[in-house]
Amino acid sequence: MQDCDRIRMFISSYLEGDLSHEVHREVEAHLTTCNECHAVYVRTRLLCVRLKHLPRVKASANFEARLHKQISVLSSRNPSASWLPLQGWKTPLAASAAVLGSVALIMLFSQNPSNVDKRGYIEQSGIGTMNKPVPAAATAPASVPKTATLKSGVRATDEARAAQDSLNPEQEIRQQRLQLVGDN
Amino acid sequence: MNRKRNLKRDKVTDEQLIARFQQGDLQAFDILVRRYKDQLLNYVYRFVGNRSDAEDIVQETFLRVYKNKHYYKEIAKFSTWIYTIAGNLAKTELRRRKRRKIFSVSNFVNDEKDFDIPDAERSPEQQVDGSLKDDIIQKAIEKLPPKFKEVILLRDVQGFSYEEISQILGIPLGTVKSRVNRGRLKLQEDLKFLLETEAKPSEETKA
Repeated sequence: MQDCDRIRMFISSYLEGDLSHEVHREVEAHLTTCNECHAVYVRTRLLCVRLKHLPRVKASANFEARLHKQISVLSSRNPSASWLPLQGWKTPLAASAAVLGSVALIMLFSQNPSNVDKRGYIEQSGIGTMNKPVPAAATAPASVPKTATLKSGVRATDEARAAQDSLNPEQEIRQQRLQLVGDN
Repeated sequence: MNRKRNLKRDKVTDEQLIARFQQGDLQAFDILVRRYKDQLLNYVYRFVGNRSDAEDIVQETFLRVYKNKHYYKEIAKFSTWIYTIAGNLAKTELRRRKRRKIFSVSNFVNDEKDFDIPDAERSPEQQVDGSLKDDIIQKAIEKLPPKFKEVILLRDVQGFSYEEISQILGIPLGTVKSRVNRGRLKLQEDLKFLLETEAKPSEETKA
């Protein structure tokens, strides 16, 4: 029986002539003496013939039309996806752009604080130091010291408030007008 | 149109066609579809045992080729690439069915058993003639574990070489040979009653 198990391991290779001369003769000799293994061999050989001649199933007549329809739906959903040769570059390109954009913004904020004040970013940054409505003069570019930084936003706001305090009523009105123009 | 005719006449290789398609030639894609749709359908149908599912899977196979054409590299044959895609989709479908079956009441009604019960009132020859034989073989194939089923179908039904099967499935050549042999041994055992009716004449010849 151990012999049978071993011989059956070689049945397919024996059928296909894929054995060394020595093993081939060993299998052949066993098959002449063992009825069970011979029956397995015969059935396996017939099985291969049957499998080879199974009827071929064919695609339906509208297979290609259906495929074309699906492709046109796909193309209309994402027209560039299938034909853009550099499709694989899209994601890394977008990521690089995002990183560069972020770096540029950080540099902008940290190196030119006067711009921050000019554009009223102090109020928008949510620092929360202003309890009362900020007069337009608080963002007056001329009155904010250039040493103010984004990190020291509180200090910048306080200094702006001090600057506001130092404005006389005429200057204040003028600054309010300027602010209104900037908003437009 | 002329170009299409020329492509046919010159019998361009699959690899040349996919290269043209990668450069935007849609006619080359159409030719590949025509070359492979039937053989893929046959393979997938034998795999999943359902005509409608098989058509869907082969459609999806071509859609994937269409969408991912730039992933194909000429180091592999186109046929092995597309068969890998189709085979993976077929296996996914079988796993999906298995999951669905676990939760389905219909699981308790096994209509496949019809083919396993011999009809005592008819002779074996009468039972297993014509297309019924093919149905029995198909059911036996479907019952094989997927790892045996795929190699049997690729080798004995589709006619691939062991090397090609090794590439399609991404498994060593020795494993392919071993699985083919074990798959055949299992099938011949399961189809014993059918194959023995055919074996008789050869047995007589031997005697």
